[in-house]
Amino acid sequence: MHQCQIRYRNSQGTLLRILLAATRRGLDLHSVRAEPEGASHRATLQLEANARQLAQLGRDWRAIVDVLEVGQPMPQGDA
Amino acid sequence: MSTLTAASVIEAPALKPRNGAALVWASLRAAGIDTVFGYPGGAVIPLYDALEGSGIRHILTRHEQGAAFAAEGYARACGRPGVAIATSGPGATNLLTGLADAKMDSVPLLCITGQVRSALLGTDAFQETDVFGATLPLTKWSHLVRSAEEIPRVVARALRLAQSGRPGPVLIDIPVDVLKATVSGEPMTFREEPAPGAPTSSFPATAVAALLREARRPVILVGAGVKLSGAVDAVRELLDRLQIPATATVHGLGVIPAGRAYGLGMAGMHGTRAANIALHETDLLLVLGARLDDRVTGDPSRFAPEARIVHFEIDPAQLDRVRKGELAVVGDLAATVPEFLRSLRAKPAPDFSAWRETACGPARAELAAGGTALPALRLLDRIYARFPSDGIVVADVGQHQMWAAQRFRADAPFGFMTSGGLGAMGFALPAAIGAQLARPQAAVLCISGDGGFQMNVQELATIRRCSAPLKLLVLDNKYLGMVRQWQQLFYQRNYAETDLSDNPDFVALAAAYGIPGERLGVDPGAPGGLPAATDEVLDRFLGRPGPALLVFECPPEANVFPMVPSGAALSEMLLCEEEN
Ligand SMILES: Cc1ncc(C[n+]2csc(CCOP(=O)(O)OP(=O)(O)O)c2C)c(N)n1
Repeated sequence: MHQCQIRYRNSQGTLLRILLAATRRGLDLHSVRAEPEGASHRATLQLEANARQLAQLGRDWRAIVDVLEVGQPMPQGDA
Repeated sequence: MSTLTAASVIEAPALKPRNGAALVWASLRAAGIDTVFGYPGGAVIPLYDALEGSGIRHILTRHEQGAAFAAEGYARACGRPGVAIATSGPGATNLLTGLADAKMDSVPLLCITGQVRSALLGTDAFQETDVFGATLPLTKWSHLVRSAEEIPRVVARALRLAQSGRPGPVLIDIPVDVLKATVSGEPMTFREEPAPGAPTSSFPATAVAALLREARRPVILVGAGVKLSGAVDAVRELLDRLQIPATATVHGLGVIPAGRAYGLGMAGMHGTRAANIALHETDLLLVLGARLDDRVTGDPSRFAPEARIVHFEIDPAQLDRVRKGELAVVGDLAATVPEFLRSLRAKPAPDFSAWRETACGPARAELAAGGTALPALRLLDRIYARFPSDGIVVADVGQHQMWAAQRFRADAPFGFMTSGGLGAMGFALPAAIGAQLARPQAAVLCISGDGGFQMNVQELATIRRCSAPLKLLVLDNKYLGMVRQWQQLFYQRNYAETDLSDNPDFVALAAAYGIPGERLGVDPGAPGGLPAATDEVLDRFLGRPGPALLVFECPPEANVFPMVPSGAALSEMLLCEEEN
């Protein structure tokens, strides 16, 4: 399980595009939290993915319009 | 290629009652858009009502998919965004294939869809589809408009995003009440947001110089990014400077100048033997604006197995797809390639002439084209020889597409377009209409198979209506040929549901749309399989002032070679019929 944090501008559909990057790969999203943080928003996702998928996800998230920052995925203990 | 800049002050037009619909047209006009493709329906009637006097030319297609592909063809031909308009529900869903195609091939496409009244959103109202939701994965950006005042800013942002970075499709969904809403006649101002600049890494001159020094068998792969970023001249200078064997993806065709000793031809599934062997053997691969799609790499895990890869790419999402640890040169090729050139002035690249002679030499030349494909190949050669070098060839999807790409030799970077990433049959006919309207003076040749031609055949009416002098070539093998080829080679000739022997009479069909046509068959006794009258027929076909159709009845079981079977490495390509 990994935790990924993404800072984004809360424009229409940005959160959904972030989630779709995971679902199109057939990844199960264990948990999703999205909340305002200062002038932007932060999404915190917990998902099961291998290193290659995490790298691809990071690149896809960065390419989404209005995504401002993508953190390094953090390995989590069994949730 | 020019890029439109969005205006930040939109004058609400004075001619019609000022409403959201009029603002849409004014916003498009202010951004330099003068042509759109579309199809009306209930939710966009206000938009059509405000069309007259807007300064926008609207091309009525006969299907919304035709509108999307035509808008794409327009954009691909001139580099400016194409715009397609559709009504809510079925009109909007008919745009989806065009959006997906534009996403794959990085085409700046703006789709504007009407939507049910704001008050009905989410009620499953008549012709309500969640277009915003349905198109999220197919668009780079999208917006459901909630008030007419938003329109200028949203249109400007959409057009800017469609063209910036890696270009792509965007969509604006507008409820019909927003289109009808009255707006003040005052000029509307909004803050211009800077276009999200492409992230650019500084050019790693030392690292690249070291890699070039250590390389024995370098190869350059040219992709669509070279054209999209306007870097064709810089890349050509680079190729001439380095004299390294160079190959192109189907979207990179026309960039490598014709007749150069380093030219390897097209790479990938139906690429040349020389290109695919060189890609398999290379120890240093410089990728310029190509995303290394599996149609180019074959089995990605066995692609260029000995190569270090230097990847010049504007979209970081495309990096490291084949292998980790590539050296990435992120940024607009129009900036990074000139930097590469500057670094070469300071430190010229080593001489690779021995490798070049091996890679591009006669031992790896194509086997003489033969077998049942020969007549089609010869026909294409003869057409291309007559076709102006600044003309545009638009190919559909299938065997004819690969033959058309294999034989394309022109030095014209924007001379060949096709649905490469999505591989959408039905693309060529409407896209050719769009290309012709974008470049009215250019000769445009649309090449389709008998299957794909029928997928958007209704657009013959659009050709007629806008008097586009397109030349339509149908390679009629009475099969869904490319699928049949796979069935022959990999499914023991089980030609399940690929037989099209009950095709209509295409010449009569075109005539019904007012387009003259003729048919040409194969003469098995003649050299190359083409009848003696071929030249005469081609002169007539290409010489007509208006649109014309030529149906070439080619042998039904002709195949495309070389071919890298799906999932195989490039080195495992099948070269000719006899092997099978
Ligand atoms: C919309 C769509 N449906 C199905 C396919 C799968 N497909 C790829 S090539 C092909 C055959 C095309 O036949 P035709 O247009 O006659 O061209 P040919 O291969 O015979 O030259 C098919 C069905 C596709 N690419 N696009």
